[in-house]
Amino acid sequence: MKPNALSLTLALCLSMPLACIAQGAPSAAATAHVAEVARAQANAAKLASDAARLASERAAVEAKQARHLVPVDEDAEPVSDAEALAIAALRGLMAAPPERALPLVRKVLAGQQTDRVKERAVFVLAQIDGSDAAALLKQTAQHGQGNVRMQAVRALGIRGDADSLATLKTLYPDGDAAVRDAVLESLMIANDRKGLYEIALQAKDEGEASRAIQMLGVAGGRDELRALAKSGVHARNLVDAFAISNDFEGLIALARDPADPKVQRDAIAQLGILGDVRAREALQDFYRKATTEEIRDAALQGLMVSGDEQGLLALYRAETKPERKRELLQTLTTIGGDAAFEAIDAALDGKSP
Amino acid sequence: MRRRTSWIALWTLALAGSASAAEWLRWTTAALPEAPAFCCATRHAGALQSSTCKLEGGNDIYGSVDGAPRSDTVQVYARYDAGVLAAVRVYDGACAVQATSPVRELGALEASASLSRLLGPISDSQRAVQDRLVAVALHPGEPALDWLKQRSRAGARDERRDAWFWLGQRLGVRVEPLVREALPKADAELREHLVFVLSQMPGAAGVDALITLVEDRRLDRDLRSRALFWLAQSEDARAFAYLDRRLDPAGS
Repeated sequence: MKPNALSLTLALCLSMPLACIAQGAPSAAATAHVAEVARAQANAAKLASDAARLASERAAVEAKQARHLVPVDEDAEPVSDAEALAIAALRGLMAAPPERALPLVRKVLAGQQTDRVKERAVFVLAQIDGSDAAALLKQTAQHGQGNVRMQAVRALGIRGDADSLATLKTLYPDGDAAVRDAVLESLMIANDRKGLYEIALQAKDEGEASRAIQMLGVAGGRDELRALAKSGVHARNLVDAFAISNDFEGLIALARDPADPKVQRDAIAQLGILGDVRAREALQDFYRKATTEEIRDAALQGLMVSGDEQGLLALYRAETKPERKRELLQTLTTIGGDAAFEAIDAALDGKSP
Repeated sequence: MRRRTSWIALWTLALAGSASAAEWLRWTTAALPEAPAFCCATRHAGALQSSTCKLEGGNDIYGSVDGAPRSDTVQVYARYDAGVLAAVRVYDGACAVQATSPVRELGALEASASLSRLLGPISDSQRAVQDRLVAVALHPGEPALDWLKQRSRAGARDERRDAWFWLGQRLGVRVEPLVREALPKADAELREHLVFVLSQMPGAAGVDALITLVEDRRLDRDLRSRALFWLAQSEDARAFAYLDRRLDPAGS
């Protein structure tokens, strides 16, 4: 038997590609090749996970948007008969006239009921029209505790009137992380892009800016995101937001701007998430005209994420440098290789490509 | 009566080879010629350095390591729990090994005796099953090979995969007819692994086998696709030349 540490390592890599990278390769002779395979797999995995993360973030926020405010733990079992009774009573109040429902809701919120029951009361309160209900909701959002308060903050976003939005903005500066996140979510639900833009613009750190920009992306605030890009602040957070909001123009502007090389590379790679014809053509163009290896790598990643097999095959045929041809070929076969098979089968049939 | 005799024999064997759960048994046996030398390594500034193996864990790398000492023997460490093989490690005979638990020395054993200690009942631990497969694969002789073939057919999913890998390592190009026989009956995951086993055949054989798969249009696309993937990963210039000829006939 030939000593074949490469095989062993590859077998381990196949079983656990990322673990393989973490562990390192047992044989130095095999390291280069193994690292190459592992890097391709890791890149694919990372890009796929980035895309999946963006998709799941978008789905999660959209789901919240769709349901607006979730009746608390609808599917969960109440912990006690008394709690179940109180929740059933509150459910009944939703059909009652406001003048009858509001005093009872107020009583529940001021009383000794559990948080679960109080959260249900906030849900009912959010459905009641009138200034008294609005005032009680505002008061709960300002002075309530824990989840009851968060529920009230979100309910203000659902109301979405000028007074509710103004209240939300006053809560943000002094709120803790949970309150701030709830405010951002509420502004997104209320589609208050201007409010989100202002928070992002004035954010004191990247984390704060990132959350506001993310909500802005989900709210489809393309103009505001582009305005932020023009302002030059928090550019690193904008790449994902442009991708989430499917904004080709916003993303391509960052991709063409060499001011921050990392932002530029990320923006190029994220074009792959958009995956439409314009993005694919732009990626091919970035690859062809790349002035640095980093830009070319980013374009290649984008092409891989977008699954642009025809584009990769065209680039392969146009490429003259063997190393790059090999890289393109490996990328093409990593993402499936249907285009490669079509070319191979055409060649087997004696047809021209 | 005969059955009782067998039980007594097994029990005696278990007692002879068994130890308390905390105790390791150690023996040496002949190494498979040209097999990778298993030892351990640690990472220093991104580079791997051969190091003493710690039986109870804490090694960065356990496997074939460049620069590790080599000999013509392997040393086997096995731990039994009530006669059931609970853990096993195999190292090159020259590899330094450190244990915190007691080690009982059994000395040099014939390959057959060594195998018989390994091929008894084994715990459900996946690690134990995996490590036993490696240990057996590094034993010379037909019995070890036959056992690998048997596990490639009858093992659980992961054990089958590992058995095929080691069959490929031991048989070289002679694994191809076995793979071709197994391919039609294998499930999708094993089929992919079998393509990898073919890709690892030495010399031109691996590339030739992959090209044959890629060009066989009776095979399903997934299988051909896997062959294409490994062909593209190959460092062999013939693989690249073939792909270039097929993908870019005008340019090549």
